Amino acid sequence: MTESTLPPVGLGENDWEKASNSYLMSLMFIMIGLPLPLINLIASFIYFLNNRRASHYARWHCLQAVLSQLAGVFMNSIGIYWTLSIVFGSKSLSNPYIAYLLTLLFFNAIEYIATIYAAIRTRKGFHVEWWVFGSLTNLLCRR
Amino acid sequence: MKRFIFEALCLALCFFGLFTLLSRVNYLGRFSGQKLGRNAEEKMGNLLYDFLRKQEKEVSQPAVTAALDTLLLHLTMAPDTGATPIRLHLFHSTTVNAFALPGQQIVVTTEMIRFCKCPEELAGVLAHEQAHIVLNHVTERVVKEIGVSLLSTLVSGRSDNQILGEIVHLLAGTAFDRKQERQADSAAVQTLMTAGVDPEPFANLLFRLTHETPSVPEQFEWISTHPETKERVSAILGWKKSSGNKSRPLLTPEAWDALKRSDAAGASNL
Repeated sequence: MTESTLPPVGLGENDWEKASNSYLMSLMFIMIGLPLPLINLIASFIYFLNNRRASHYARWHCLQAVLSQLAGVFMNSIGIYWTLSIVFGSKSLSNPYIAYLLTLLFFNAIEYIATIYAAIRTRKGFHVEWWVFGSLTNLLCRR
Repeated sequence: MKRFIFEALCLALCFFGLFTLLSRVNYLGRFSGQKLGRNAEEKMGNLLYDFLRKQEKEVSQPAVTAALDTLLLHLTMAPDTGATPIRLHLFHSTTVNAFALPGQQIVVTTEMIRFCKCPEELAGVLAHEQAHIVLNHVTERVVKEIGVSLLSTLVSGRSDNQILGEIVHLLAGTAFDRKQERQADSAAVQTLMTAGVDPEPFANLLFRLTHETPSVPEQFEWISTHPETKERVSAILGWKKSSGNKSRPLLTPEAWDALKRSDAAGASNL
């Protein structure tokens, strides 16, 4: 994760709030959406669509929040599918399954912490760029 | 773009690296590390045996038990097979069945003996059940399904027929998981080969259990429903050819006749 040392110039409190809210949105809906990690993605995406005419700074952070959710949804969906196969299907509890759950827990925890950090910093007007998702957002979000 | 690809690859590497690393830990082994003590296992085995004796008629003719013991001796005396002292019980029943009990016991039904065409087939069944015991599948399974606390209560003196019935049903009426059945199958063939017993009749028995028994107990469903049964039977036969195993007679014709008559003997005791 990289962060600009000074807040971007020419932006107001309103832009910072919109950018910060995009992260808060995903955080809030993680709690509602568990164990199905889809609702937070939908919520973040709707929030991004609502702010597509906002400043580049706000749009950029909305998109980064959506993209980070997308990766999480993909990884967590595999975990849910695996769990359902064990509970209702023919698969049995195995060491790789437990290992996968632990890996998910680790990456979700990192994402959770990073989301909280990004929400706090963007609210103060700093530009927080995540590893992987920041680069992807740079590619997708045009001025 | 290059930066994104590099970072994405690094993230994927971290994810799969951590997953692979964590996969190396035997979590389930740690859970099943909850074990009953040796004495508790023995005591539970005795309780289950007493329970079975109340439910079914045990065949105890000396000629029959001597023949069975001779068969088992061939297997348990074979080197590198665990050499576990095993108690063998024969019960009168109209179901083709054989299963292992805690406390290193094997139960065989008279119908199973009637179903076997030669001593080598029966030896295959015994070797399979012996493998479950040596590989600790039986106790592991009972602990997993019933729970250590309930079993501890049971062996501490408060014997409960309902729990005993559940355990007997679990061991006699339901199959182990496929991985354990495969392990037992493989170990059984190994034991037979080491003991100088031809594994081909065992393969034949697996095949006949699939095709000839009208109602196979769930314990043997892994044979009847497993899509790879034919391949495994072929593998056993192929292994026999490649090793050029020379078998030796396990029982005299008289001893085998006595065993085959165990069904009538058990019935006459009723």
